Amino acid sequence: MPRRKRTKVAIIGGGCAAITAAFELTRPQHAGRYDVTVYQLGWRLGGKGASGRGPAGRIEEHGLHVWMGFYENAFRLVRECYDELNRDPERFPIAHWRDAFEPEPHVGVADRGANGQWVFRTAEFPPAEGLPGDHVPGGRSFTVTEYLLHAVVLLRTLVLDVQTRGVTEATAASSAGDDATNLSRNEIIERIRTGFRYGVLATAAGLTSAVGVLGVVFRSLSTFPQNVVLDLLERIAATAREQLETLVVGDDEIRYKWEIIDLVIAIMVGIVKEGLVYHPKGFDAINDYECLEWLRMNGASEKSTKSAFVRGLYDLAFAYGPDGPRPGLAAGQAIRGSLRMLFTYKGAMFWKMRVGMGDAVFAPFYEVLKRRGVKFEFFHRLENVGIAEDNDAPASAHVDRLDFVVQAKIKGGGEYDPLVDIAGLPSWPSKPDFAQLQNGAKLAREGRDFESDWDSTCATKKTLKVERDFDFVVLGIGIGAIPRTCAEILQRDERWRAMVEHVKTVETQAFQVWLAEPMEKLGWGGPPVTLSGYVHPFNTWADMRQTLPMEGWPVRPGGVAYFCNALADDPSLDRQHADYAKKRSAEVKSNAIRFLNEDVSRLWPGAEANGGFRWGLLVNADAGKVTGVEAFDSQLWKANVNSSDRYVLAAPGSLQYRISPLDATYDNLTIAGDWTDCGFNEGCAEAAVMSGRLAAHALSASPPLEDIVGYDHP
Amino acid sequence: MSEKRTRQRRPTPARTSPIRDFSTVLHPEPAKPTASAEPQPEQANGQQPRSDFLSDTVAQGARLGYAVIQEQIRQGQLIAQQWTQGKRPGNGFDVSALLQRTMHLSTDLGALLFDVTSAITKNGAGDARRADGASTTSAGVGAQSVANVRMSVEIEARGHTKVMLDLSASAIEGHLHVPALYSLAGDSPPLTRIAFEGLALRVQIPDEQPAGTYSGVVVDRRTNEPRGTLSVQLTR
Repeated sequence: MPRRKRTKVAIIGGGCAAITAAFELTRPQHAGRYDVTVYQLGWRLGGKGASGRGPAGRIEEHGLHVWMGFYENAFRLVRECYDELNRDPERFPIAHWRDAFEPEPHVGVADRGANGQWVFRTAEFPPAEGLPGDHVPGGRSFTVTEYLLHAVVLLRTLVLDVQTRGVTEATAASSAGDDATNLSRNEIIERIRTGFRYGVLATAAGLTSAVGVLGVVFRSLSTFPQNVVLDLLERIAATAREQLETLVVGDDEIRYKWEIIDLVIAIMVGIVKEGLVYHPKGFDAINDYECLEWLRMNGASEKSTKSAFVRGLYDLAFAYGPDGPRPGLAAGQAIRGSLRMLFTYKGAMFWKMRVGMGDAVFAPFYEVLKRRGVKFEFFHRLENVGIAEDNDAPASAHVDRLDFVVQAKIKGGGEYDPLVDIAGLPSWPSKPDFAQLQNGAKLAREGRDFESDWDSTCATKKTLKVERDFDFVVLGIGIGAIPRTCAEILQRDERWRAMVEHVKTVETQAFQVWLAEPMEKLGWGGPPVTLSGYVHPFNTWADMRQTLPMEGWPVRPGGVAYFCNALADDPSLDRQHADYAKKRSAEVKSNAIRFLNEDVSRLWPGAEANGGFRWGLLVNADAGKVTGVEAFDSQLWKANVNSSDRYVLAAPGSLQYRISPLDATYDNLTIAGDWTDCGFNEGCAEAAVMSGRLAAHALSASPPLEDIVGYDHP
Repeated sequence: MSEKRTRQRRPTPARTSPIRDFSTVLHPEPAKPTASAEPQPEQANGQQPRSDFLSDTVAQGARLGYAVIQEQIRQGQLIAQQWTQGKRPGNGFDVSALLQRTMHLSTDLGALLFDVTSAITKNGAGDARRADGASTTSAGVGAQSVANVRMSVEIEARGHTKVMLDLSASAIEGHLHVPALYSLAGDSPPLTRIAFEGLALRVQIPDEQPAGTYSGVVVDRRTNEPRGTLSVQLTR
C-alpha cells in the first residue's frame, strides 16, 4: 500500500497567529497529514505576546496583556491546549487554564473633574453567564439588533442609576429639617440647582424609557419604516442632549454617566441612520470614518467624544498619539470591538494572567506541539520569500524558496531547549540559554540581542526549497517585517504594496516596577484595576499583584505595576541607525522616571516624597538598597521598536487594504497575524488567533469558517 | 533516496471574506426595511396596513411623551431662571414636589411608550383583534380573558366608553395599580378614579370629562414595574 505523503508546512514566526495555525494543522483529526516546522527568530515564541523571566524569576513582558472576555477563539484554543497538556496539579502551580487566567471585573478610567483634577473611576462589570471559549452548539451568531437591545438596557440602567442618586440626594436636601428661609440665597440657589439637575436628569429616565420604545421597535425592526425609527431615536436624542447636557456641568458623577449615555445614543442613531442592521458590509460600511468623527456626525457632543470613557477605549487600542487621536480608529471596527467588549463577554469583562503571557500561553502550546511532532527551529531570521511565476497559469505565482539567516547553531546539532523551570513552572527566560549555542560564551559577552532588528548575528545561511523542504508556507511574521522579507512579492503585487502602505503600526513603550509596599499602603484603595485614559506618556496602568506569587523573590514585593502606551515616531531619529533602539530605550526610561516623579502620586499618594517619587520603594532583585533615582535601573522598561513588536492599528480608511489569510493569490502561501483581514481587524490576541485559524483553513479546509467565532459578524 | 514530490496547491476556498449581512443567519427570508414611510395601499378588508398602524401609534405615543417631558423641563428651566434672576417663586412652591412630579411623569410616560409599543408589537401587533380589544359600554359590566384568567371591568360613565386593557402574563400575580390615564390630546385633565380590586377593574369617569382617548400604564404597586396598559376611549 503506498505511503501517504505528508504535506510539509513551514510556519514562519511564533506569535499567536502562527502557533494557532500550527495547533490547528496538527489536530489529531488530520491524522498527521501535516508535517509542521516553526521557524522562529531568537530563542522564544510569542511575538508581541512573548515574555521572559528575569532576575528573581520576575515576569518581564513586552507590555500589558489583558485578555477580554469575548476572546472566544483565543480562550477556546488555550483551554484545548491545557486539556491536552494534562498537567498534574500536584506538580505544577499552573495546571489548568483557570490557574493561568483569573477574572478581572474591574475596569478603570482616569477622568478630569469639573475643576480639572484627576478622578479615577472604577466600574465593576457583573459576571456574565458562561466562560470564554465555551462551546456553543450550533455556533454563535451576532446581530446588530441584539446589540441595540443590549444598548437600550445599558441606557436605562445608567439613567436609573442617576435617578436613584438624584432622588436620594434631592430628598436629603429637602428633608434636612431646616427652613429655606434660614438659608442664604446662594445656598438655596445651589440646592435648587442641585435638585434641578437631578430632577431634570431624572427626566432622562423618561427619555430613556422612551428609548425603551426602541427596544420594542428593535425587536421587530424589519416591520418598521427606517425613517420612523430614526425619527423616534433622533427626537429622543435631540431632546435629551439639548435639555440635559448643559445641566450636568458641575456634577462629575452625573456628567460621566451622561457622556456614556450620549455616546450610546449616538451609536444607536448611527446604526439606524447608516442602515447597518441590514448592511451587507455590516460595520465595515463605516470604516472610512474615524470613530470620533462618526460619533459626532450622529450627534455625540464634543465633550463626550473627549470623555474618559472614550479615551480609555482608545488607549486600549493604542489609538492615541501624544498629539491627539491620530491615526485614530476606524469607526466600524471600533464600534464592533466596543459592542463585543461590552455585551458579549463571558465570565468577566477582563481576564488577567497570573504569569507572563509567554508562560501562560506559549509554553503550554510549545509543549503540546512538541508532543504532536512539530519541529521548532529557533534562531532563524527570515530574510527573503522567493517567488516563482507559474508557467501553466499566467499571472499566478507561488513561494519557491525561503531564505533564512541562522543566528546561532545549537551545540550537537539538536533542537534548542527553550524553557526553564521557575517555581515549578516551565517558563521562557528573558535571555537565551547561551550554553546551548555554539560560541555561546562569545555571543553572551557581545550581548547579542537576537530579537533586535539591528542585530546582524549570523552563524550561517539556509535556504528552504519548495517541494524539497516545504509544500505550504504560513507567513506569520509581523507586518513591519514584510517590506524587508517580501520584496519579490511587493514588486509584483499591487495589493501587497497597498497593504504595506496603508496598514499602520505603532511602536509602544512599557515599564514595570516592583514595589516594597502594597497598593493599599500607597493610597490606592480601589480593586486591582486595569486603568486607562491617564496622562501621556503612560496612559494605562495595571495592578498586577496576582503575578507576584508566581515569581521567585526570596522576599515577595508588596506590589507590582505595569504601565504602557504608544510610543510616537520621532522624525528626528533615523530608524536605520544602529543606535535607534538604544535611543528609544533611553527615551522610555526617561519617560518612566518623569512619570513616576510627576504623575504617579495621583494614583498612589503614598509613593510621593519631597515632591517626587519615593525611589526607595522599588524592589531590587540584587537586594541592594538604592534610594535615589538610580533605583529605577533595577526595574524593567521597554521600547518595543522591532518590526515584530509594533502594535497593529485599525486606522480609518486602512482596513480594506488588508489581505485575508484565505486569499489564494499564491497557491502555497497563506498569511497569519492580527494585521490580516481576519474578521476582527484590530490588534489583539483574538484577532491573531482568528487569523491563525483562517490560515489553517486556507491550507486544510479546517476548521470550518462557521467554527471561527465572530468571523461572520456584522 | 529522497522521494519525488510534486508541488501541492492550496484547496480553493469557498469564500475569502466574512459574511457581514447577518440577517441571513437569523431570518432566512428577512423582511427588507422600508426605505420610506410613504403611504401603503389599504388592505382589502379596509384595515390599515400593519406597518402604518405601528408607526403611527408609536409616533403618536412618542409625540405625547416628548410634549409632556418638554413641558416639565420647560417649567423647571423657568423656575431655575427665576431663581438666578433673583425672583423667588410664589408661596407654595415646593422644589421637592416639582422634582417628584417630574420624575414620576417622565418615568410613567416613558413606561407608557414602552408598554404601549410592546403591547402593539407582541402577538402580531396591529391586528384587528388588538385594535378592537375588550370593550364595554357605559354603566355596563364586561369581562375579558387575560392569560386565561377572567377579569371583570366596571365602568361608571355617561357617554359611550370603550376600554382596552392589555396585561402581561405576570400581571396576574401582581397588585395592579393605574396612577392615572392621560389624554392623547394633552389638554384634558387625566382620569384618576381607576382602581383594581383583585381581578376587577373599576373605572369612574366624571360627567364633565371631555371626549378623547385616555391611556396609562398598569403597574405592580409593590415594585412599580409596568404590567400592562389601559386605554379608555370616551365619546359623547
